[in-house]
Amino acid sequence: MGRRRAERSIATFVIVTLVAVVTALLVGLGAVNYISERDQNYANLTAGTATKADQLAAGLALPLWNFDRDQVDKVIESAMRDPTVYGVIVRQPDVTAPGGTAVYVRVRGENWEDVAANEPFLTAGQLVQERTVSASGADVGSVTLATTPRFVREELRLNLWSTMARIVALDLLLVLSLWVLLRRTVILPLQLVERYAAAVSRGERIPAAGANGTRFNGELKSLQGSIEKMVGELDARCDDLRQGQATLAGILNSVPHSIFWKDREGRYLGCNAVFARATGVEDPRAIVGKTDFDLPWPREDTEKYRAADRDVVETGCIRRHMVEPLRLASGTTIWVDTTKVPLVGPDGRVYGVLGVYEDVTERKEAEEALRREKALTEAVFNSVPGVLYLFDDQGRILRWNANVPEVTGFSDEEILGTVAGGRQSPEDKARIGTALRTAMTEGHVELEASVVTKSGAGIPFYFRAVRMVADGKTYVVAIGVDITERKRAEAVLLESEKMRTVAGLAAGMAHEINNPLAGMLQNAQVVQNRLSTDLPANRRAAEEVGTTVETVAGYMERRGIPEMLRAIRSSGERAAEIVANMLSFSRPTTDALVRHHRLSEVLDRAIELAQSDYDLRRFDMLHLQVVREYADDLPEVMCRATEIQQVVLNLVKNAAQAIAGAAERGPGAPRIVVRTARVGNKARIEVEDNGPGMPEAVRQRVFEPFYTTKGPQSGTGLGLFVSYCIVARNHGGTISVESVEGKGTKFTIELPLETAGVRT
Amino acid sequence: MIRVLIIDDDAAVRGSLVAYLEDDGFLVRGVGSAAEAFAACDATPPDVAVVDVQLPEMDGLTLIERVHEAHPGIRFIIYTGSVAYRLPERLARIGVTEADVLHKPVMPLRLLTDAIRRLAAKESRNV
Repeated sequence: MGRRRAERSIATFVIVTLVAVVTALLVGLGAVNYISERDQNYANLTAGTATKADQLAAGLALPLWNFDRDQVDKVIESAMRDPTVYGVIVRQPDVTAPGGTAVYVRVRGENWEDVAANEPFLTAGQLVQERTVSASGADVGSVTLATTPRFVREELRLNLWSTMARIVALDLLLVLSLWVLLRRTVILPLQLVERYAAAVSRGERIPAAGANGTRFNGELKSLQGSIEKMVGELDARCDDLRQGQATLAGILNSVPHSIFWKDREGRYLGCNAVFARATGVEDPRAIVGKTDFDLPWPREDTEKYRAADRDVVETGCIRRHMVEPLRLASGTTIWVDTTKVPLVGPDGRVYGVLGVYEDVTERKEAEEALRREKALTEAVFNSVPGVLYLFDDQGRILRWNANVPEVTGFSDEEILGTVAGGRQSPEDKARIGTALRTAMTEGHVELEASVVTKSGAGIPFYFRAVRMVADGKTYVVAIGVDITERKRAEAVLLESEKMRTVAGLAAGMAHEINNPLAGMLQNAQVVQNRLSTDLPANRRAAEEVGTTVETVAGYMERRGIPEMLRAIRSSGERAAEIVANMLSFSRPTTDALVRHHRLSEVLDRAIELAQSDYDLRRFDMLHLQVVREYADDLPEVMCRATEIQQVVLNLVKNAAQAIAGAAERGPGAPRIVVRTARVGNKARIEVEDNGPGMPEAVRQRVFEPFYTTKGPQSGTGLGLFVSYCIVARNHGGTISVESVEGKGTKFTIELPLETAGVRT
Repeated sequence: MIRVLIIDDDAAVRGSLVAYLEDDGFLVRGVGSAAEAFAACDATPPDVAVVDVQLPEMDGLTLIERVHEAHPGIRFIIYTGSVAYRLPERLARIGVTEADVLHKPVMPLRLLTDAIRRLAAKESRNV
């Protein structure tokens, strides 16, 4: 409608303008014509009036001269026949009355008829001509002629109306002809072009304008041509665009990648079908305007994505291959490899970000599975308890687990390529070689062999080796377990079994011995008492049997009985002392309290005591070095300090005596090492000497009570027994001994760090 | 005179103690069983009882508790052959102290008589 009104207004505008111009022109012309006509008519009227007045004056000259009234009337009457004459006044000096005037007046009545009047009429609005009437050279009167312009005005008005009517008729004609013309040549073709354009813009295809025979002329023709050409070109271009868009959409929706693009604020501008599916949006177009907060990602992921977007937008840099988890609308989480590219507008400004990601879950999972598998294999390999070796069929070490370098101290580079048993003694190497060959042929083998460390020490290991075939090659896999502790534990167990029996026996025996000892010693004492000369009861009893105590005493002396009694007491007391010593560990001491003690302090005191010991001074303690190797990480130990001190004192004394008493010394300067270490939840004390060591037969019995290799003067053989009982029974610990003849002896004490083992 | 009761099942120990204490001026009686001990205490309560820990029918601890119950005035000395003997809490509660525990064999026996005199003096003060 708006368009139609606009078109009509163009036509109206043209028509109205034209009509206005023409009308104005005609009115102007009419006005000029009217004015000239009016002037002309008035001039004619004035001239006619003058002429008529002259004729009237001439016509009246004679009648007036003659006073012929009738004739005068007739003349006036004839003058009045002219309708333009309004009235006539004729004045004539009255001869009958001097100075009087006879007047003849004729004027128009109401219906414009000729009326005689007695009085002169008013001449306002009329054209008036006055003439003197002369007859024979004498004035005989005057005549006044009044004509009216009334008819002139009427005629002029009539002319005006007719002119206006003509103008109107001309305008109508003009409007009609113009409308017809415009409609045919402009409006209809324009409407057609417009309809065509509207149809084109609606996307409809209708025949080009003019196809229905409408004629186009001049500029419209070329306009129509231009539009048709334009539409044609637009069509072609649209087709191209549509083709391109379809291709692009096809590509976007057929690649397996998810593609999306957002504006600077993170609002989606679009995406492909894969991405829409991932987000649960049914149509890619529906994503427009949404943000990641509207999508099913978890909150923290969303923040991460948006941070990456901002980064890309702000820096303008591409972020490639970000592998990150993505939760789909379906709830499953996949791994995606995302690349984000800044979208740069024609002005060079980044207006958004384009993201492309690929579902790499399978790849990731495969990689992950492979990595896990590898890590698992590695972990299994390295968590195999003990050392693990893989040998080729030539006995060369191909692979090994992490325990090997840890145990041996050799680096991986040092291990690589070495041969089984390469660092062992020739006999051991041969033994190992034989075992490997057995594994190759029999399929499996077991072997006890030591592993040589970088420091040259040998650690006993128990190996099981099996043949393995992989990729057509034969290998031997060997797993070895450190049996140092087992060997020690076995020895300790054996020792403790034995010692428990012995200690139990000793304790039982002590009680059974103390009672008879008491009976014996007490009786001996009573006997001594009753031989005394001072006791009144003795005196009385002697008198009763007829003798004196002095006599009895003399007899006893002579027979050496008091000396024998002393000997009984002395022997009995020694026996009691031995029993007491043997069980000294179980005697309640003043230091009954078990406390936390710093082992280093306890050991220092024991070493101090040993160095000031009288017995040891006899040995050359000056040349005996006591080395303290205390661990820093050892916590305080719950123990009875005096007891542990006694044990260590014992061990140090034994070591000093062993070194001093030896005919041959071990290697190096004589020295005793007192060492502490933390081993798991135990505190370990070692007392090691480089003395002569002891034979295995001796080593096995050192803790037994009364077992001694020293001379009868040196001791009772209870020192190590008591030490053993203090450690094992009173502290719940272990004490063991290792010794190599010619090299030295090492006592090892282990005390639990927990209090549970300590007996109060 | 201080009355002493020796309770020990070992005749040699008991006999020698009785003899030694008698010689030293104590009024001594020796018994070898718990039953005899109860009877002796009921007849003439001693000032001090010397008790062996291991008795055939009853252990020394129970014996002391029973006797103490009937005769709270009697003081006790524990005389034991066990090196590892530790004073039970129950005895400590009725006034027995570590000083009253003597280990067999006590040498010299003067240590025993000193202990008896000390306890008797304490007892007489209490009474």
